[in-house]
Amino acid sequence: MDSPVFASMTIGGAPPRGTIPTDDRFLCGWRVASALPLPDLLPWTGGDGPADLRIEVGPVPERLTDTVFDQPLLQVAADGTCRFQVPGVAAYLIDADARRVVVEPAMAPDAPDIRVFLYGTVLGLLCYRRGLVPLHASCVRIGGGAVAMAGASGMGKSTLAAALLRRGCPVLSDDVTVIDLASPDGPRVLPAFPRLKLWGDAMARMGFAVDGLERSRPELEKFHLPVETRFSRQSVPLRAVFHLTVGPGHEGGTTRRLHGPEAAAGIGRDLYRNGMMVRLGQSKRLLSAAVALTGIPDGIWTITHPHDAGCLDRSVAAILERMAA
Amino acid sequence: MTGFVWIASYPRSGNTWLRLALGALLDPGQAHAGDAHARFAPNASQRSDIEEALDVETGDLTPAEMEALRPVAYRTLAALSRRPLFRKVHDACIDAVAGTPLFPPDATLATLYMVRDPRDVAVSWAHFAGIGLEEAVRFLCDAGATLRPAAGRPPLDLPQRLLCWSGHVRSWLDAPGRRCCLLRYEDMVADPAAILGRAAAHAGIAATAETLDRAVAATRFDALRAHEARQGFDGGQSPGSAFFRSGRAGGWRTALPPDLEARIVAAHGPAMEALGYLAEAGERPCWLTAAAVGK
Repeated sequence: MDSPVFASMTIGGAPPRGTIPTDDRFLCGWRVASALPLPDLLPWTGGDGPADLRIEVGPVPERLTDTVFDQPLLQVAADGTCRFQVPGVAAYLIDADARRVVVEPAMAPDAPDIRVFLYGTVLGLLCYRRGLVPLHASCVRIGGGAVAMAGASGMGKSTLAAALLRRGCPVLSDDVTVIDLASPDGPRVLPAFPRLKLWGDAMARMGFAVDGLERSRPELEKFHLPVETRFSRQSVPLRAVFHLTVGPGHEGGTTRRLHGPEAAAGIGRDLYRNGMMVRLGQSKRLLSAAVALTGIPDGIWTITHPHDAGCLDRSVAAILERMAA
Repeated sequence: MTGFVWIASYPRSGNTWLRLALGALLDPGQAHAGDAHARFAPNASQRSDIEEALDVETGDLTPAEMEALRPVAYRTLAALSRRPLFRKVHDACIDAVAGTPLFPPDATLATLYMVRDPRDVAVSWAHFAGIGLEEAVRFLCDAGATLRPAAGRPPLDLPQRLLCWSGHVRSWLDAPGRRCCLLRYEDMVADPAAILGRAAAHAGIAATAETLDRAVAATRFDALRAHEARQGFDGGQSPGSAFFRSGRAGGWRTALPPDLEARIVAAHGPAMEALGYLAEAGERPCWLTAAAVGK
């Protein structure tokens, strides 16, 4: 490891201290001071206040003490400290107050692989620890409201967001949609980062060129499409959530509005890695968050999105039509 | 801490039928056995299992990482669960990485392995996948055969390495840990209650003659086919194909050209013989009396 960011790395000792953050970035409205280069985040243009989140590069202990959850990739300590690791990529230590993340890379610190999991599981952990609600969803702005497309991995959330982007809808987030329930005017989506992570074949079908784009992992045909100029920098009230589903027996774009307990159950299923909420001892928050989200103005929907021919266009049309109604 | 009951088979070998029958046995009050398809014993290769167990997005993992993490996820789910976890499996029982079985014996409660005459499998696979018989036979003979989500469907499952048909059979019969319960599709056609009873006993599912008869009645082939005709049944088949097609044993005799049959026998003869598929009609294969089979 001969990268400059390791020059001041402290080895051993507890708690671990990492390098001094230098990168000044924006994520979910937070000022992020990072020793890890975070080129996919917007530069911080807010005030001179202290950082809301510090990302340091340094050693992460193999084991947390006093764990309440201890599984191969994720450990959670009784005080809320979390340790997440992707073998061969990086280990991440999230402080109990979720204001500091120490990253110990297992590869070059500027590798995109490290950021991929930072903006995924680690961001989810930070949100849960900070009282925010992350959805497993990509999100765009339609008119004055945020519309989230939620669903299982592989359902095409990012592709649908890209297709809506082509129809002029600014992007708010990709894969993890962070919601602030504490806002007085109702749930608001916090803008995350101005890029979509898309499979090469989906990009080709939509006419996006992959030349010169960063791969999310060198081994994957998955690319980071920057969307800086079409990114919503402001938080936006959440208007609707569309849960992508396979069927059964319907062509793409068939919508059905969910009400009451069915809507709450749908949101519960769409919480980002909802098991993490349980592991962090926040099970009780789960129900109240789900119920709060069912009250958003344009509601909770399912939309069939089975990936058959023409499905993407039908789903885009259905969402735009519902939001125009 | 509990573990998995793997309901394993090569594709188109009666896995869904067995699962629906076991589902009906476990939940006799369900409206229709066909409706349990989406709930009982989901695919072991579903990405959500890894994500739920390990709190990681599978779309961000490389194929090698996902292979390596599958047994880790199964162990984790077994450790976290308080009830037996039933999963359908089409993967061959191979090592995820060298020395680490994809389906860890220490996370396994029981394995039910359903096998079917590969000549019938080839005919059924051709219909299911919407391909010609020759291509289907080639698939059954391909040591590198991998089951992937069909084009035009969301990739909710990970790719599943099958090996060739006899490689698949061997991988499960030779799997480490508790020996699997071998079930022949043809025997299930002939005497479903007996075979279901043997499967239930091996998997630790309580059953009586009465509950077995009821589960068998609920999952009779004509009932499943009628249910599919009424409500549809998405088992991953190609568009326009029925999932429940013939439900017979030996249909290959009229459907498979002799040269393709010969190709299957040439590639898989020893395994077919051991399983009784090359025996004369009425002759009980000696192999089936072996201790391996009755457990």
